[in-house]
Amino acid sequence: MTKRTDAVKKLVTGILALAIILLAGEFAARLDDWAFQRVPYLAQVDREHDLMLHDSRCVRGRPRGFFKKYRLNDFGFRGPEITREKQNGVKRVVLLGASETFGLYESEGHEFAEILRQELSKSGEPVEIINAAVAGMTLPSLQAYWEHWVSGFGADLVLIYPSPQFYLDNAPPAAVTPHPDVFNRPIPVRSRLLGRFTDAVKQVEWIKRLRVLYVLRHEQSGKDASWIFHEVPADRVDRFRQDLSALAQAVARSGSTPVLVTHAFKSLAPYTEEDLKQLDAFRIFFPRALPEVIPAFDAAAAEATIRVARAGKWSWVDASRPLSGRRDLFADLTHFNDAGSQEMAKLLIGPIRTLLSEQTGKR
Amino acid sequence: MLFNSFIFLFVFLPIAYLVFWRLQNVSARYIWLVVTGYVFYGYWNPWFCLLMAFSTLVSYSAGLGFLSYEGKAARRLCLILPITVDLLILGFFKYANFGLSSLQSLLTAVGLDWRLPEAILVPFMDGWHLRFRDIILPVGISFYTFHTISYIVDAYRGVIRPTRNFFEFSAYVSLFSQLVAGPIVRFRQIEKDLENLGGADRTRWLPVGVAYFCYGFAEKVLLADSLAWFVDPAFRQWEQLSTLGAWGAVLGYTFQLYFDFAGYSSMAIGLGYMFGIRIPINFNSPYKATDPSDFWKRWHISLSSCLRDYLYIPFGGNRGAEWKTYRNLMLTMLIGGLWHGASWTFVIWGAYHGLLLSLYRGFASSWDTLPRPIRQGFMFFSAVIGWVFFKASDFHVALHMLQTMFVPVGGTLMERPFVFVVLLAIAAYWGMVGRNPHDLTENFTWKTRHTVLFAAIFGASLALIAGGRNSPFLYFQF
Repeated sequence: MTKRTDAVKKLVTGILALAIILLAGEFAARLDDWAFQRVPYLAQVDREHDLMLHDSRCVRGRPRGFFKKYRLNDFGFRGPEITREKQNGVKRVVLLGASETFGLYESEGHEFAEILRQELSKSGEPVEIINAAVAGMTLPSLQAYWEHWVSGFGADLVLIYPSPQFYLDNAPPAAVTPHPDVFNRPIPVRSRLLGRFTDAVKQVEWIKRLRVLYVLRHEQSGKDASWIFHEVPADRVDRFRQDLSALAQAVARSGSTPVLVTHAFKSLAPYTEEDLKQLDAFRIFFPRALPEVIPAFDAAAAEATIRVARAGKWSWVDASRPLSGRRDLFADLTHFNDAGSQEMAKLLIGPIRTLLSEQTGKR
Repeated sequence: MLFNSFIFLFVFLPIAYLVFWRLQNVSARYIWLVVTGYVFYGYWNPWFCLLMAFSTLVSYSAGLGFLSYEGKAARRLCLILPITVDLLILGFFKYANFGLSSLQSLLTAVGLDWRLPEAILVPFMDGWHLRFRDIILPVGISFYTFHTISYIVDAYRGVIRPTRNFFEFSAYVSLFSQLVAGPIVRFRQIEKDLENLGGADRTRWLPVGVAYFCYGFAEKVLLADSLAWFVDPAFRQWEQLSTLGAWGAVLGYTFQLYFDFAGYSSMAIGLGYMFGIRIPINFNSPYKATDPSDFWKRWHISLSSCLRDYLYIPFGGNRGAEWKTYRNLMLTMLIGGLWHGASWTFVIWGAYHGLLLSLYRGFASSWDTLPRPIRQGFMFFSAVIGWVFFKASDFHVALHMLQTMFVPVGGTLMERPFVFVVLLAIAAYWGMVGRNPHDLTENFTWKTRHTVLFAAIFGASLALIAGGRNSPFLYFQF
């Protein structure tokens, strides 16, 4: 065999092997999704599309939506099926918030809303828990969502667990304008293998660091030093307070009782090296804030939450004080792991019982 | 660094491989293997490299001692001193806190109200801050300690001639393919390959290496990690399991553990071949075993042969009175159990296997007349019961699991039961009936169908890893 034929043969074998690797990978990724996540083999998968719906008035959870371990019911809420009308004698508790409340990293059935539901049902209390949280929802979007969708479910109590970090974004958050025509279109065919690789590569520590550096450089270019939040921006805390107050008022106007929950954060000073690494990586979302400003802002938002509750004479639960800084309870800086979810549920179940029994007493 | 991680597959391995074969002389190759071994190991925690380097230095010096001194006393010193140092290091990192908590339990049990500290704290550097925390078990310490001890003992016995080449010895200890979870390779087993490393032929062993590696990759990622998806949550909720759920969890674990460790071993052997070093087999379809003695000739072969050569035979083996043989068997298996981990459940697991071996020794002549399927089935069942102790976090959990398995009770099942049953059936066939990589790679010659098969296995496994299914190997904890 000549050298040339040998080289051609090697090249063809290499291309063949690569093609088989890719095909087998795509086949396995789909089989894996089907076997372990119940995703139809030929379905196109996209987290935002599969879990969110833009209707003419607001953004909400997609009815019967599912993506990996996340499953939504007929009304687009995470958790078991419910009826629109409350059953006689049953109290309804709605949880409003973003991904921390929706449950991102907890294993299936371990998000704190679900633990609350299980605990209450174990003790036979006629209470229904609705996890109405939607990942990525800011307070203004939550308000629109409440007014146009969730308020129709007749909640007795509404626990609001806001995500303050959105207020460190380039601009303060505003309500998302729904784009039903654009967003609800079928998604194009995508390789699930490629999607998995992209996600996996993003998790590699040094790639994460490079991405942060790139984003920071890109975002900061052409801006002066005042663009960076060197300390907690008071106007943003104020804006957070106003938006939270507006949402709580909207809830109260609908006849439900709002309960405000202060936000818990993984890292507290003195920061460990791991904390600083994570805070630095978090700047990919909030390049304006210096690492130490992020937890400080969270603490300031927790205080603001209590001020809002006091001003509106609403109840509050302080999750920040007992949970912040307990690194073992968090999967990342803001999202709970299974243990954290368990702790959060423990913290909430008492006030829920008390407030519901107070409501019953009043009536 | 895990074999089933992208950083290993696409960065570490290609660089290690290409540079290794570019180097022309044996010393450069030894040095490169040492460098790669330390990078591989230091990826977990660079500080632990110091520990391995120290252990290497101690054992290497012992080897030089054997070469230099002829006197009995000096040779004994070269045997006892380094082994004591190695065992002290292992004992401190692996057993200190276990000993402390056991002592506390004992004191409480005899009514003494002495409060010992909950754990021994060790200093560590967090950036520039000195902090204290519980002892962390350096990954693979049990394995490389075994490597170094076997080297010293074999040198003392004259089975091997110790090497004067420090890098050859370091390459043996820190060989990344078998560094953290075995197989426990004895110096004598790879001595020739190490010495001939300078003239090793890259293409000769590459096909066998790739075949072993891909086979192990499939065992680990496709089978073991998929089973783990069911088994781990089931064991976390052990109190809520039904009888069927408990059997499912334990059977699932039986195959998960096997494919996890056998997969790792096959990958390690494959990597060894890729670098011109033939690492001996570690698993030979253990669930095909027909009696306890056969099981231990097939399960973790490198460990069981070490236990035989360095414990059982020195204890007296089967020489002498019958009761002494039983005593030696029990002692060997108890220590073997404790080697797996600092927990009483491992001791019980070791004792259980010691008992099985003793029973078999007593009744072998009758047992061996039974039909093969009965013997295989019974041995499998016995192994499954043993794994309950191996997996359980404590004795209470193990007993609860056994009670749930044998006293019918309602409760939870596995999630996605259909998928679980299909997976279990594949695993059972593969493990109990099918061929193992050693059968497949005997007289191996690469054909086009192998390209298709191994490319498909590799692609499928990559897809699962990319989906987040790359759990650490179970035997890393030992």
